[in-house]
Amino acid sequence: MRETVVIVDDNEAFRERTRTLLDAEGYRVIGEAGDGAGGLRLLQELRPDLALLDVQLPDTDGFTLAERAGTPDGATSIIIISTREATDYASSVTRCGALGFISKSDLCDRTLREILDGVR
Amino acid sequence: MSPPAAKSAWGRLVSALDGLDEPVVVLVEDSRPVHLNPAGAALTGLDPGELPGDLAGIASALPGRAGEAELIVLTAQHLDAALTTPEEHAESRRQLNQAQAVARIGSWTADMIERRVEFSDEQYRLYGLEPQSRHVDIHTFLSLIHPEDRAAMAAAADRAALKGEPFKLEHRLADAGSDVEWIEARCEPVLSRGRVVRMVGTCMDITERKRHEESLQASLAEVRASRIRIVSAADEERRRVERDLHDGAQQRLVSLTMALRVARTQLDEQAHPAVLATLEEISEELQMALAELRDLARGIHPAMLTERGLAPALESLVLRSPLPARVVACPDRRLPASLEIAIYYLAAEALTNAIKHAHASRVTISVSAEDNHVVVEVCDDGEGGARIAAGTGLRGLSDRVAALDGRLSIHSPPGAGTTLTAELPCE
Repeated sequence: MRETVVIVDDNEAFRERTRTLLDAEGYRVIGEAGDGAGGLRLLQELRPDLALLDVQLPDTDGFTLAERAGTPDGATSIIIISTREATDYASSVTRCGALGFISKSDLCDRTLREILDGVR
Repeated sequence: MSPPAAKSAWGRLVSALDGLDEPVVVLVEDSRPVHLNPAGAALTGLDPGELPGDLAGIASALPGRAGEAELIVLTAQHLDAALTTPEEHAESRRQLNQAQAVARIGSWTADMIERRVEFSDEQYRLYGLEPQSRHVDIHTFLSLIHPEDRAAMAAAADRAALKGEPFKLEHRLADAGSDVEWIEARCEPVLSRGRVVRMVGTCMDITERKRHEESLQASLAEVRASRIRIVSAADEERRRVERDLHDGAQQRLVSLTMALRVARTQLDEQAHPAVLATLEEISEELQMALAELRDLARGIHPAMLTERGLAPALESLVLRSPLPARVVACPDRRLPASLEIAIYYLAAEALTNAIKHAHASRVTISVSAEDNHVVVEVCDDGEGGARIAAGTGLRGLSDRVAALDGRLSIHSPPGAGTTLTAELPCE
């Protein structure tokens, strides 16, 4: 069984698609949230293996959320996602304590594994 | 040289001088010697009919050393008898007064030796007084001037009287009753032997000119404000288009990409290799469409700038640059939006030029916020020879910078790289 996942993104259609995709790839999506407040709660309660955080959230941004939700023992791996590209965000990703960044159009098992298994 | 009426007077003078034992030479007004009496001729050995052109020539003909020979020099002025009669004089004065009234220019003279000031009729009128109605001196003059302008006038008048410095000064009237509000006062001191002996001046009503100036300034301010509004409106529009592209078309393509991935997981790859191949093709083309849309959106407006500010946006810019580029300095705090956009576009344009035209190998970008302005500098080590000319991207930038009351300059000697510098005011 692959990692448990929480998706935080304000686009419901995207969350649905991502859930379908990840489920098909063997991941277990155990929670979804549409804003930062909800996302923070889920991450603290459920402590998933993996959290996918969108940069643009209605009440905050993915980087701030990553900093707040980051657990000291690194139990949850945080990956920032966005419609935009990695070069747009550069150092902000590493500064907030996230493991990496994936552009939404690249989101799939292969790119996730690259980050989770430390290839990127 | 001697008109008939004067001949006898001159002749009598010459006879008198010729009878003296003392040597005398006569100079007329322009320092030319015109007569040497016999005693003087004997002393100097000069021919009275062929005198030197100036006093120095006479002096050099004196024999002996200083103190041994003495020559008296008489300076005479020849008054032309055809000078004006009293009637002509009065008529001339009347015409002058009339000209002054028409032109609204007054004149005055101050005799510094006899301590006497005279105003022309128009000069009185300009200052709200009846012509020749009262005695004027420097004190009454200053009292007619607006209190806030008095100190400057007093200082200028002092400098003129003591050092002979001419002045031209604009001032308001103390009494704002009449239609004259602003006056331009000019003064020319007349010096004799290093001392100011007389001052002459004119005063002109410049009220209308001042009103035009004020109106012009107001118009200029309005144009400036509208220019900024236009630029801001255009920027806002582009922001909207970029946002629509992002929220609309881009999201849709991302969604399609994901749907495609889902489809692939639902497919039995072994059973339908052709379908798989087609899905791969669709996926690749979608990625290209997405990349093109991203570039388009970025060309319209750098969303990163609006969302996160100048530093991240510039960082993103240099990361995507095919040429090694570096941001050496950039303030962390947010600046006014119009300023951030101008700085970003400046950096982007300069970078583009460095890549496309200058064949540079390195570019540095520096943004520093000083007290009340921001200085942006973009340097490359390319060919140089760039100019802010019409038709180039730099012209548009120059306009944008000017609309923000800033200044753009370029230093681009051929073969020695290019440095683009912009100074923009910032609260």
